[in-house]
Order: sequence, then structure tokens, then C-alpha cells
Amino acid sequence: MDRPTEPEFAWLMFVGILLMFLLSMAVVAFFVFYQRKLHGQQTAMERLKLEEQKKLLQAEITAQENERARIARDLHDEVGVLLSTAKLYMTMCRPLEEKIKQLHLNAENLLDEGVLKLRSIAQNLLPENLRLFGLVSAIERNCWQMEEAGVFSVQFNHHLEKRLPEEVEIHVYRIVQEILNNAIKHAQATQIKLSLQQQSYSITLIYEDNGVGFLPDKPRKEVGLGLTTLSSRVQMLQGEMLLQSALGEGVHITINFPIFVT
Amino acid sequence: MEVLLKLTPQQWAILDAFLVTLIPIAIGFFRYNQLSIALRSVFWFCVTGFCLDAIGRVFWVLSIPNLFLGHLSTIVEFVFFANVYRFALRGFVKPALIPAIIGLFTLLAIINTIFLQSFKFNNSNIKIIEAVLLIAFALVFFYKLVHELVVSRLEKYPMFWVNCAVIIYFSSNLFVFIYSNYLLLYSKQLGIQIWFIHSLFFILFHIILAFSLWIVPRNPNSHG
Repeated sequence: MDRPTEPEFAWLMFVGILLMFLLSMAVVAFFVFYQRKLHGQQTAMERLKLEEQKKLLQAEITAQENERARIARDLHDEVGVLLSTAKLYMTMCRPLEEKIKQLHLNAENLLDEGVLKLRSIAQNLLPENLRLFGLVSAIERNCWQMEEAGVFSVQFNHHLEKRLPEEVEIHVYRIVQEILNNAIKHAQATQIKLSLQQQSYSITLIYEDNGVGFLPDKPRKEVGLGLTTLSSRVQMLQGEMLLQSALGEGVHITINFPIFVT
Repeated sequence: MEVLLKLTPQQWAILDAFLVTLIPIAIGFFRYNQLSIALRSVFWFCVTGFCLDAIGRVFWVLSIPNLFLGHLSTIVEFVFFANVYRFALRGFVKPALIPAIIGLFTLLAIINTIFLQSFKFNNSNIKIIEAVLLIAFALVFFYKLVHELVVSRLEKYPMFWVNCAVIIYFSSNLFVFIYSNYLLLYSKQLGIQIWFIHSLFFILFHIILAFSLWIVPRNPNSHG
């Protein structure tokens, strides 16, 4: 076969080079388009999964609160009444014989202890203070208990114009409880400042300690479930949480959520 | 030296194209500590390529045959880029695969030079094998990126640009490599035109490599 003439060969070369160049560009463009499409789908799926997890967690929190309230009510209204009645009967049937007098006293003491424990459990499940006197009183009681235990000194500043809806109060109370529990377990702090301030349409909760701090960027597993629950409760209040900390520099948490004035 | 005075602008462009290699070298030099192992291989490819090209130009000016440098630079080029993919495809292909291909390729290149295309010819056979292998590596790397989906912003990922450079340069020049010896049967003017086009792709290739070294993040673990 004769070799092609120079113009034919030149044409073959130029067209060949151009086609290969265009083909390589097409491969790159296809890859970029396909990768972006897949990445977009993956991101959307992850977002959906995260939303689903959040919803599940929030439903779990709500169910947990309802269950706690029910158990607290049952304990108080039913078991509490039974114990009090039993105590009353014991008081009424004074023992005649010296021999069983001590046993009678022991039984009365056990009943007293039972009533106290029951109140304490009911208090933890659904603080009576919170229900009767509101959020500030319940938080003050928590702070007071911590100071009494000699864990650290707690400074609590507050300004709330009126009581908040019951559901909101429970969430804020649980948030404070979780933060203080974390402080006891991990912070090694000596001073804690807590502030709950109401602005026109929002409430700001600020927590500060002088403890050992931690790295907030650590993987979630290492930080623990507490922060996940905390952030879920904040989301349920439609609020925002800003957590700042570093090793040796304590922890600073600011939580802000709106209040809907009707 | 008289030969330099007779050069056309296109020939000057072909002769000077290798100077573009200084851009990735300069960038790589200043950012060397931030470069991953794969990108360091790109940097050393540029350094070695520049040296070989510079020696080749000097030989050409002194009318000393320099085609043997082409044979050598093909092996060097392939070893460095295969090494880039050895690290870039780590965990995705068998660890021994790419070193084995490097060994086999080097052996083939030597056999080709001894028995098929001596230093008097362009080593087109080996250039074709090199281009096909590197294009294959680049496609596997794209597949890996799609498969793992860990890179969210491709434009900030240096290895994506290295890969683009490899695919564009070796695909576009495949015809030049295939017909590089056949080209000698035609006029010198056609040869100059074809090698001028090759030089344009060579410049584009090194500009993309320079860009990939430029966008390396300060934190080498970042995917951008």
C-alpha cells in the first residue's frame, strides 16, 4: 500500500491530535459532571439520614419526658399515698409488748426512709420545684445542691419576666442539668457561671467554667452522647448553640432560643 | 551556534518550551514541605525532565546526537508518574502491581532500544506503551475518586489536576508518538508543525502541573 501524500498525512495527524485532545477533555468533563452528581446525591442522602436521626432522637426525648412525668406522677400519687397510709396505720397500732416495740420502730423508720427516697426519685424524674415554682427556682436548687456538695461554686444570674411554657421549661432545665452533670464528670472546675437572660423575643443561656476544657472538634463518639442530646434539645427549642473550648481554657456555651409571644 | 540564528519562530518555540518546566519547579521548591509523596514525585519528575531537556538542547546546539536522551527520559517520565499513581492509588490496587509494571516497562524499554529502535530512532513503541499505561492509571484514579467520593471540591484537589494533565497530554500526543518515526519520511516543515503542536501540549501539561502544586493546602491531610 502506498504511503499517504504529505497533505493527507498532515490532515490525518492534525485531525487525529484534535480528536484525541477533544476526547480527553470530554473524559475529564464527563468525570467532573458524574462525580458532582454522585457527590450531590450522597450529600442529600446523608442530610436526609441526619434529619431522620434528629427526628428519632427528638421523639425519643419527648417520649422519655412523658414517661418520666408519668412515673413521677404514679410514684407520688399511688405509691406515695400507699406508704403514707401504711405509716399512719403503723402509728395507730401502738405495740403493747416491749418485745415487738423495737421491730415496730424499725418498720416506721423504714417507711419514713421509703417516703424520702420516693420523693427524691420523683423529684429527679420531674422536679416539683420546676412544676410549682418555675425554671429559675429549679435551677437555683440544682446550683445550691452542687455548692452544698462542695463540688464547685456556682454563680447563677437570671432575668426572666414570667414563666415559660411547661415544655420549654423542661427542656431548658434538662439542658442545664446535662451541662452541670458534664461539669461534674469532666470539667475539674472550681468556678461556674450560669446566666439565664430574657431579651424581647429570645432567651440566652450562658455557661462558663474554669475547668480543663476539651477539643470540640473531636469525633462525636469521643465527645459523647451528652452533647448530641444537648444539641437535639436546643433544636427542639428552635435555638442555636455555640460551644467554645480548648484544652486548659475551660468551656463556654451560649444557647439562644426564641420565645413566641402570643 | 550558527544553527540558532537560522531558526524560525516555531523552532524557537519548540526549543524553548522546556523552560516552562521552571514554573512547577519553582512552586514545588517553595512548597516542598507541604507536598504529599505523590506530588513530590511530580516535582522530581519536573526537575529531572528539565535537566534532561537542557542537556538535550545543548547537545543539539553542539550537533551531538541526542536521541538517546529521549529513550532515557521516557523511562524517567514513566517511573516518576507511575510512582505518582502508586501513592495515589494506594489501597485501591494491589501494592505490588505498579512496581511490577514499572519493572516490566523498564525491561521492555531496554529490549526495544537494543533490538527494535536504537538510539538513531525515536522510541515510539515505548512512548505508545507509556501513554496507554499512564492514561489507564489516570482513568483508574478517576474511577477511584468516583468510587470513594471523599473529595468534595475537585478544583481544590491537586491530584485531580495532575490527573487531568496526564490524560490531556498523553491522549493528545498519542498520534505524535505513534507517527514520530513515520514523520521523518515527510518534509521538515511538517515535522516542525507537528512538534510545535506537541510543544503547546507540553506547555499546557506543565502549567497544569504547576497549578496542582500551587493549590496544595497548608494542611497535607486536607482534601479541599
